[in-house]
Amino acid sequence: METRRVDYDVIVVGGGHAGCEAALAASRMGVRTLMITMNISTIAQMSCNPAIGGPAKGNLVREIDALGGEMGMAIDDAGIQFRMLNRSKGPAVWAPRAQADRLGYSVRMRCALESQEGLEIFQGMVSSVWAQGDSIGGVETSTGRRIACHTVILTCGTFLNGLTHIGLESFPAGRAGEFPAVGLTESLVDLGFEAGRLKTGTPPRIDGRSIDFSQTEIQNGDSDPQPFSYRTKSIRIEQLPVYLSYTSPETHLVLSSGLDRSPLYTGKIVGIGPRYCPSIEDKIVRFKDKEHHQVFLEPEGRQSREYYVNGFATSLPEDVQVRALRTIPGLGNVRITRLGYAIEYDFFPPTQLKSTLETKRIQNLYFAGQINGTSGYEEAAAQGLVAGVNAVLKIRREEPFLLDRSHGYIGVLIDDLVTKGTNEPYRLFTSRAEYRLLLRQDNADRRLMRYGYRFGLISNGQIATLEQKEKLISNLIQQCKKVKPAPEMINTILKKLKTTPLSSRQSLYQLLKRPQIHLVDFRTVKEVDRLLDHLGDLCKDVVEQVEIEIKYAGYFQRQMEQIERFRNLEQKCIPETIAYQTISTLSKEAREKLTKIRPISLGQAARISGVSPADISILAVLLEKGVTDKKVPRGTN
Amino acid sequence: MKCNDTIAAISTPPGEGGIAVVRMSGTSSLSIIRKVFRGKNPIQKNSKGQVYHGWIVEKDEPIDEVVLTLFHSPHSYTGEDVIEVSCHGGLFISRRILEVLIQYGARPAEPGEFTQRAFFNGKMDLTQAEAVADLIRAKTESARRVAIYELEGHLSGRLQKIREDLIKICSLLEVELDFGEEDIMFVSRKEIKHLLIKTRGELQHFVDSYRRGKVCREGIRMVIAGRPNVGKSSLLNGLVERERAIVTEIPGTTRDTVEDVLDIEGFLFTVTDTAGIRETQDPIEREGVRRTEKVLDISDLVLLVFDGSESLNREDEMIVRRVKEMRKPVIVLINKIDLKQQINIHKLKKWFPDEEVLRISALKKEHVSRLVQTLKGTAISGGIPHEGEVLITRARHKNCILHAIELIKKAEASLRKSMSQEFIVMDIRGALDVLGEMIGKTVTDDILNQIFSDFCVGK
Repeated sequence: METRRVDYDVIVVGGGHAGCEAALAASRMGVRTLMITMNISTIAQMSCNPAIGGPAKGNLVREIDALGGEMGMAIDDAGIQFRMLNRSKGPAVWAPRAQADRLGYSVRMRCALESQEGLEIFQGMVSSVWAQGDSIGGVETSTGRRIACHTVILTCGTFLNGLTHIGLESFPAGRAGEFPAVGLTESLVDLGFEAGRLKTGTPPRIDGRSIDFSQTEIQNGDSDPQPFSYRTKSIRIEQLPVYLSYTSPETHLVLSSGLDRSPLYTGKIVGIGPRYCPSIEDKIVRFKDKEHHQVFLEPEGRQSREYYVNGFATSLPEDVQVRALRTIPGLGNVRITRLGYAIEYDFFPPTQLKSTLETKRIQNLYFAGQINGTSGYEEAAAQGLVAGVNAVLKIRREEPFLLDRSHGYIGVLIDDLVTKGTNEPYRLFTSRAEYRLLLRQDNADRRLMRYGYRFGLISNGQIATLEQKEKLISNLIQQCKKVKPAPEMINTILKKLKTTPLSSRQSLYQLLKRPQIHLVDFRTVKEVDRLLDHLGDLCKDVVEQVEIEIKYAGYFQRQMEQIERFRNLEQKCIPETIAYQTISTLSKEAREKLTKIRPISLGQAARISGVSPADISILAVLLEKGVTDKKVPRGTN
Repeated sequence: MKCNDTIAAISTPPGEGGIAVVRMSGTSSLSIIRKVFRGKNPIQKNSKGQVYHGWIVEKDEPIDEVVLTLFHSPHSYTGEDVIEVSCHGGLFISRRILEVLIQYGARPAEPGEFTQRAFFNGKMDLTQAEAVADLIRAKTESARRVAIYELEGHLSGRLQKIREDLIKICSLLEVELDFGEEDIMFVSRKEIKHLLIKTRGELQHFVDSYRRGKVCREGIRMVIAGRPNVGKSSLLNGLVERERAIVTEIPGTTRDTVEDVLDIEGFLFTVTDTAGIRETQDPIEREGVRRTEKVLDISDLVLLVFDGSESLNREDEMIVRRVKEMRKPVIVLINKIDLKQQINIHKLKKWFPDEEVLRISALKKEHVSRLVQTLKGTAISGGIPHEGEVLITRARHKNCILHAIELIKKAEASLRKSMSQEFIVMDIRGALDVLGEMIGKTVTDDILNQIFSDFCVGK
């Protein structure tokens, strides 16, 4: 390691969801860590909707938790409504989602940071970073303080040259009412980084006392709320409802009347916004025929009377926002507490990163979260965790932590970012995961917890529980194959479940393949009762895993085969020193893209847009021949 | 990699002609041609393509007056620097020019190497490259038509269209998973089922076209069979002579089967005359019979010949049995109608109730034209592409498409079992990947793009 004197091992710039996980992971792994945030009071602030989870995002939180991250526990503590989405679908797309107490979540996370040994927090604005050779040196704050460190993790959210828009008015701000971060982008561009500009938006918030809830639909939480964290035993709180209303053609008329003062439609906003989360004005313009759009009224917290108008993101002028909202049933007399706005901010195309989230250009400099063009708290947190872990592994000169697309949603997220980049705020969807049947929220612990344990982020107790659970699962599956209840013992149960009775003995394994049947249905069978009793505390989890594995065995088997084929290409490593520019047989575009992205495997190369199958065949031939072939040009080693 | 060198070949067919073309491709094309070309204007690399007039010389001795056409990389067929030397016709001159090019650093091209380079340089996708290979080898007009059609990317285009349909289906299913909370009218399972069946039908259509595609590309393999001395050879001669279309006597065929190629209005027939089939103890003759059966086995059509001047005997019966076992399309011919007829037509018709029975005299050329018409009809029903139809001509394509069909069937089965969307999508995506491999596309973001353009999502 360098003998250079440093003040900290790791400095995390930013106190959002990426910054929190990065700082916690690094300090928990035992390195001296400093988090610099522009405002300690807004640590882990939910800038947009007060909710965590949902399809794909819920899986991410479970994965973060399995790796020893904080987000799952924080939302379990600060949630005010819990729902498992997609329950009518298969287990792979079940998605936990929770409404959060916005302030409560922030306080909960700040508490975790402040009580973490080895982690210090400082309020200030980092205005530049400096490099020493091709390595990061440290950061400088706007007050001129220079802090030297081994590693910098930048998690700046929407603050880099943030510019908010309401109608034709615009204000430099990182979030409504907060300062933007200036100087840092320029400092990074000076170091050779390429920057881009994105846009996102948020809806108005309203005074709950001005809502007529009788005109809305109520949406309650689940009666059996499921925790996000493997460490949370159960959730016992009084849940708050969410309310649902709809826009009408009249609303759309009002909105249309304001388009001439829309920063989006007058060309004032240059950043690209997300297609999956369009503003309400965007929705009515792009989908003219749709007469109603859903509007969710989500409580901001237990202590607050504010409601968040989800589905109504807008940057239209103030008067239009008020008039449009008042056409919505239940909001006839509504008072806005905070206006909706759009924000433009700088990001750094993530193709400039390695899969560890370290930049290719400057060693020991990591980017995580919205600075990489993503959106969403969960996406940010996942990147923060990965960056934090890898920063420490690099300091320790250990093998990096890399998850591929078959390991988890985190792998999908990072591979998409560093391989394909993004030109709109990137959000994870389950459809982005090729192997999602196996990347379920119910098995994140089985997939990933051992990594967390290896990094010291998962306790001995937790890993012991996992080992025990694994043992019980395989044991129970064996038993299910052996136990064959007599038809006369279970036929009445089968009839009650509306499934064909048996004429001869069949194993539990065979029986469980039927969708209607669950193990608990056979509790009256003595052998089954004994099996279940044997499972103790882990009964629910173990039975869930066993039933899923048995019911979908055929599909899982085929998905495993797909993964094997995928890994074939992933394992064909491309040497880092390969000089694509001198391989004349590659297409020009492929040469440029490959040089820029520098994929680590043939599989990753194949996912780069602009790299054709022909290019891949050529690379495959080169690799096959062994890069020792004299005719294959190599870079300097 | 091989592609670092420069290749050259004579591109026009051998034989006398007004001009011949020698083609060269590779990084050294320009430097090689500068060494052997003397013209008024110096050769420059500055624009997309240029034409020069001058002489090819060897050590200052002129070989021929030529026109050079330059195609600069990447704007050329292979994507490399390509030079076409148009010289005077005749094998001698073009060979001399090729030799000079090789002397100065080019290498003789291997068959198909220009196309291979075009493929490697991303100038065409795999189906197009394969089509070029077919085009070069196309033996008949109808095969050429299919090849040209594929070359223009029609096969890719049609498959792309089917892929788009599948992506659309995926997006309809996916939207329910990622945006289940949204206020969206989801498509019914019944409709998904219809869409899947429709798409599968289109793919099946491709597979069905494989046989016809193969006929276009490779021609119809036709075997003349019958017991000894029923007039098989004279039939072959009659057919071939009549059409004046003997192409070549293909060498390397077995001594006892004779093969000829016949072009009937653009359709290629490979006709094999066989040794008569009969039971025999003679080991050599037995070998002949064995080979005949082998030829029968790979044939597409059997011309089964009987001697009309004799009554049907045990040998005839045996052959009929063998041919029927093979379940091949058969045209029944009663030969020697110029002689007194002894054959029991009744019995014959009973053996072949559905087959066409033609009466001819191969020797006297009576009604042979009727046979030719029948053959043409067979080719049309079995092989001609309809105007604008895309045929599958390669086993690789056929297997890919069959695999895709298999996967779509699995998706349909999941649908029937009321499985959740993600299980159905798994196999549709598999099918997409398989089709993508054929034309070199990957699924990646296509499904999401489709969702965002069709649905108003985002709360």
